[in-house]
Amino acid sequence: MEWNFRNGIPIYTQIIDEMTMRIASGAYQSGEKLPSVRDLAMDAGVNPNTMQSALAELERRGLVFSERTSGRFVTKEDGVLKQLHEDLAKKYFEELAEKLRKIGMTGEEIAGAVKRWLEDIR
Amino acid sequence: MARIEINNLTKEFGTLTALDSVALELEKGQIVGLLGPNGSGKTTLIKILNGLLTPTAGNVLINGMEPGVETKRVVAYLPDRNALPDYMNTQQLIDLYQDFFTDFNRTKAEDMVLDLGIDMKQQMKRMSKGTKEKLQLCLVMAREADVYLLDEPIGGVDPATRDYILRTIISNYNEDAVVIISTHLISDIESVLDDVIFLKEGKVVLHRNAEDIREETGESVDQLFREVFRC
Amino acid sequence: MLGKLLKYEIPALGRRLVPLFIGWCATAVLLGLAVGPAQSKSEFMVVITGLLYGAMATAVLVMSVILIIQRYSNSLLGDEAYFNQVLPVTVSEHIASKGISALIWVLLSGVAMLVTGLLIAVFSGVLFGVDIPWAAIFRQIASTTAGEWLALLEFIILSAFSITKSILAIYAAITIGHQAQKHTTMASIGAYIGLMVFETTIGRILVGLFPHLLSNIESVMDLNGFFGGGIFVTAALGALYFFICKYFMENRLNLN
Repeated sequence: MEWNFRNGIPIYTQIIDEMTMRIASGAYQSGEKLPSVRDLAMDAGVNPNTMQSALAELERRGLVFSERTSGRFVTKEDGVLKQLHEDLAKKYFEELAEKLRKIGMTGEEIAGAVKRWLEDIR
Repeated sequence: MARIEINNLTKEFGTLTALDSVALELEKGQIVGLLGPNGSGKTTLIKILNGLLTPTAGNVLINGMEPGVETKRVVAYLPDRNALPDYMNTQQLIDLYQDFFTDFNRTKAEDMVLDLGIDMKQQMKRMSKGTKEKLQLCLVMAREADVYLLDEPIGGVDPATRDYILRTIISNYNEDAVVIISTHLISDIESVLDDVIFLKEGKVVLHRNAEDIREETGESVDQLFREVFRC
Repeated sequence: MLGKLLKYEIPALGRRLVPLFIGWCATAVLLGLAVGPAQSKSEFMVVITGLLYGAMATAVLVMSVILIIQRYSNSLLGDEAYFNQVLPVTVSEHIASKGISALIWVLLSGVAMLVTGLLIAVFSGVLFGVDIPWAAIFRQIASTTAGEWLALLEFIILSAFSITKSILAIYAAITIGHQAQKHTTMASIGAYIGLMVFETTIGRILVGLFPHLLSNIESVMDLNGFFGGGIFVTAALGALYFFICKYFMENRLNLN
């Protein structure tokens, strides 16, 4: 898995986004043990302190939990993962909707178009 | 007590002021970027921390002590030039480090040498410039020191080696050590840094957390650097 | 730590000098053969091998001096100082390791000279047929008085101290010269001349204070006193040079 960081955005935020994405996409499975902070930091080429605080934030958000001796794991709670999916989906849709509104589409037009396009993609 | 304390440090060479009233405190557990263009005083500061230069005014303290035998035990230094006897081969240089530094981890050094494809039997003088730099870095990073002072560690190496070096620095990171990396190649290393220090004409013009800079300015450290040092 | 420094310092000099010693011995063998009892003795060969031997002797001498200077200035004040001066070793140990290994190699050069002399003698065959008067030698040794033994011992100590002092004088001159930011070589030579003038002046003053020491050596007792004084003065000068090196390196080191 590649890490790509963009300029001018705190790396901490970018790590949180990337890790969230990996959990949502199943790259890290429910209940799976995460690599150590040092290994993740090495893999991403980032400061270990930054990686540490990003993971702490993910823990606060309930996406990962830690066991004192054995490390960090992806949450096993289906509710949390379901919520994560919904949040992400909503976020992406909001981004899309905002752009479509900007070019003048109404809510109804968007709903109609989404149906048609889905057929096309299939 | 701070790992490194720099008090009102001034260094003059004749009429040239290389460092001008520098004051810094660096706590353990961080990787610090000492950033500035050539001639801004980076190397001078690192040399004073190693006791290779005597301050004109002010002082530096490492673990509360001025540079001396005690501090040299716990400081691992990568100079900006080849300083090792060039008639020795890799194996002998590893022996040399082991003889003098009790915190030297031989296995670690040998692993790194192997990873980087350096010949154990090759004499230093027969190595390319890049290989010499890599070998010196292996020896320095294989120490388990309190302070690492790396003067331009990624100056002359290829991108693959640069990544290896950065990963080595990250993997070597520990909560008790402070790592100082001096460079003018900021975009290559900025994601590894906790704090950055900008040196301009011998003065500290900025000392901040790298993440805070990105958050507040919306710019990378590299971009900010280019603004501060615009000619 | 001094032991560890010597472990690297002695071979560092030997690496360059031992091959020269071997070459020197080889020219001695050639000279011996050319001079030797061979019937077809050629004047030309004697001159050539003699010149070769002389050239090697000069090379050893010059190289020793160059190496003594180089090993000190490069490792403690030049590029290699960026490694050596960050070792957890005191300045005194650094200077001592340089001085001791230089002394050892100067003495070994002396030994090498004796060996070449012996080689010339053996290969030229001059030793054949010569009766060494062992009996007389032993008689001489047996009749040597305690005072004479003391004088001999003092002479050996004085020689060793003089060599050490001369080495330290070179080190001190280099260290002082390094204080100049530019033209350090010229400054070092200037400093060396200064130190030699200083030494001569001290010598003159001492002779002025104790005129009888030099002019009236009539008994072994006088000789004992003269050598003893020499040892004391040489030791004092050596100590002074050592502290000059130590002071500047501890308090005013500036590697450029």
